[in-house]
Amino acid sequence: MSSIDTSSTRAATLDLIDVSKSFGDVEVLHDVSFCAPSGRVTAILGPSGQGKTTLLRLIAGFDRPDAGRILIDSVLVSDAHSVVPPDRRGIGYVPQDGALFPHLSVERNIAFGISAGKFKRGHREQSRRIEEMVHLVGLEGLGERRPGEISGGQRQRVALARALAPSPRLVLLDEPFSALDASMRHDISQEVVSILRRTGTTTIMVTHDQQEAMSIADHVVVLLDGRVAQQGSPSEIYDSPACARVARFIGDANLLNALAHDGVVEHALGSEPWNGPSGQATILLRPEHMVLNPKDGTGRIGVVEGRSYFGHDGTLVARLANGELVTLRVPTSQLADIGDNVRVGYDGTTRVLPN
Amino acid sequence: MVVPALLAALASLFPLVYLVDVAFDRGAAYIWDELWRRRTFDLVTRSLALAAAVTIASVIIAVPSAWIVTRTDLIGRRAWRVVLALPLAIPSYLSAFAWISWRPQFAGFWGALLVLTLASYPYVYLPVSAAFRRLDPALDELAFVHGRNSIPRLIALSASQVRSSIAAGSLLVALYVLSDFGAVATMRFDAFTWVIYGAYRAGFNPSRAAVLAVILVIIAIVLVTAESAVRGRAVQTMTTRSTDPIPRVKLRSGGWSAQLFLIGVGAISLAFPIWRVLVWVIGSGAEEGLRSVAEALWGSVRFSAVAAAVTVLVALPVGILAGRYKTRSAALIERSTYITHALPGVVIAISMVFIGVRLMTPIYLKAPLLVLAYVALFLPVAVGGIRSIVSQIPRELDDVARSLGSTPMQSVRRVSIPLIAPGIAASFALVLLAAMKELPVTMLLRPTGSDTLATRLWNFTSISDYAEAGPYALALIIFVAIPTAVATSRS
Repeated sequence: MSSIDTSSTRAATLDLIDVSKSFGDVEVLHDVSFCAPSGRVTAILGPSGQGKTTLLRLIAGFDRPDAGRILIDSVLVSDAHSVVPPDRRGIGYVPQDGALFPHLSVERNIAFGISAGKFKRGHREQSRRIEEMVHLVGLEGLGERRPGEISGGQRQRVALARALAPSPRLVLLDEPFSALDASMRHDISQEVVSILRRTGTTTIMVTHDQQEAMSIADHVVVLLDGRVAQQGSPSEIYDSPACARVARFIGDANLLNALAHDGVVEHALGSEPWNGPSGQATILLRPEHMVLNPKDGTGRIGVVEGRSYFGHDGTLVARLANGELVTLRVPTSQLADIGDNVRVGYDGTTRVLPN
Repeated sequence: MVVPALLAALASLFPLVYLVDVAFDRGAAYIWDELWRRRTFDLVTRSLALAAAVTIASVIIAVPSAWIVTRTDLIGRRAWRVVLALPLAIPSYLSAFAWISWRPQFAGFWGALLVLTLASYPYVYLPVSAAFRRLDPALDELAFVHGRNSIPRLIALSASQVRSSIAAGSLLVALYVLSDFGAVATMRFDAFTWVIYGAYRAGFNPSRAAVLAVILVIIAIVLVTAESAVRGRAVQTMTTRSTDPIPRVKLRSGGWSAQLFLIGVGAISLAFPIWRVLVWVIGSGAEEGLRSVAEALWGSVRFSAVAAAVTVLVALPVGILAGRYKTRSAALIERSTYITHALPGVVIAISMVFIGVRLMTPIYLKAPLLVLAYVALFLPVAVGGIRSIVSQIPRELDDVARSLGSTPMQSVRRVSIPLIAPGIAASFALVLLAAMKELPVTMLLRPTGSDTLATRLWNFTSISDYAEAGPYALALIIFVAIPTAVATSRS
């Protein structure tokens, strides 16, 4: 990959400060602020219909925010009064289904941004760059094909090559893999991200798939109801979610009622030291931190009500004495039967969430 | 974009407004009198009876034809699928001439019924075929399981599933019958359009013509509104369960009767008029007429080409607006041009005559007014074509082009125009051909001293000079009907 020209890519930082946007009476984004580090992959993660695409369109300059500021490399590009138009931002954009130009061949699609317009290059440099991009995304020999004649995964790679050809400072991907078959989604997403990392491009990716976000991104921004619920590295968000909704959205979660008083938090499975305020609280226990029938004889009694077998491991759902349900991820050898009495313990990894 | 679209919408409503104005020339009392006259009542009854009869006959021809070519294993069904839609391309006055020249006693109700049925059954055939193609194949299998496997029963069963499509097509047929001028004029049947034309020609009592035209327009608007409501339902109830190839009903011995049925339809709707035209041409010494045929053809092409270009230009903003932005105002603007669907050619013709005589005397009986009338008449055709192609272009393409450094104008030039160009060309061709075969507007508004294929044909046949008419009819088939058939079957 040494032949790939990365020198001309000027990876940018992106800052959003208190960005809000409404359509009619509906406020889609409310005071959204985050910083996307240079040369890294940032995922904007949230359930469908919570303003993710709107956010991307604001960053690209297709729409104007109602309030707040957007800065690329510390230069103001959007606020409520003025917007630098998309054609002068140097941003690569890959929409959901790739949106290749149906009347142009694969090669002409890739050449679109460098054969005319703001980022036009000389003829010889154009063909060199096209060749480079075709090679980068591994589509040798398909240059003459029409978008209708290639597969969904190939279309997605052409869309990426087209976006990267003018050496953008920033690349925006809108649910780039959701249109692909589940079987190929993982491979293609890994491949696309490795290409982006190789070119050192700052990448913003919108997705509703938390596994995709966690496995690909360096930095995750969780967007719930048009607000930033939390941002950080994937492990920070998984291990220390800011609230119960984030905990439940990112992976499986047991959320038990708890009571904080006098330096401890008590819950159905035990108690933890606690130096926060007293009162009602919630405690997060991830299923993989649950232990079935601990060897030291500790744990609380529960009755198995559900059982799922996944091959590599399995889960049990047990009802505790106080009526709460907990999910345990256990080796298949430990999968008890429905109706069995078991002892439910945990390995001490917990997190107290404020109510 | 909004301003030109709005202007286009207003322009297409203008003739209607002016028509109402002329109707009130003699005061409201006159309108009231005219409405309650015996002859007006008879006229409405006669016209509606004809529309009803043609509609029923069209359904009887169209539904079995559509079923045979979409749901069975008939040999040659692909070819039949195209052939059955072709009668749309033949002008109704031409086939009416064909029949009446063969047996003059066809004149009147029965002749009009025959010609209009053959000309308009494709309006039922096309939507019903489309619906049959999407119909759940399990239906036929189920019918077999229950032993209801005679062909008429299967057709009835399938037809009951696509009622909405049949209804929508039937309303289009009724609309076509009420708007048609050529067939009823040739058959001398006193339907609305022919009587309106007569009232205009006879005493120059514009108010009576205008009053009748307004009644006709009201009936037509009811039909158009009903059609668009029913069509919406037809699309909703469509089953799109499987994309598997439809398991076809095996016709076995029934194949012969099916073939005979389709051959019969094709023979009387297509082969007969063409045969008659050839008889006229061969029976005449047409050599010396060649020059005047060429002149008439040039007359047709000249006015029609200008009209098609202007129509497409006016339709572009409306079509783009309606196809791209699904807002209420965009829909309203589009709907207002759609109203002209309900304005029969004869109505546009006489309202344009009034406008020409009273407001635009300098261009009355000159090319610009004729072009203007064509634009008003064919705007919906062009708007529909452009809208459908624009709505197929995803908005993201424009976004991507912008992100790749194109300005809005560059994006239009590099992306939008290449993508809608085929649609613009198709709309241009359809309007051009429709204007070339148009009769009433051309007849009343053509510039003094100029002739077109349609008007020449009309003049000779109205004095039963079929030998002279032959070359013009043949030219219409070669230069209008065949290209129309090609253009519509490709789009």
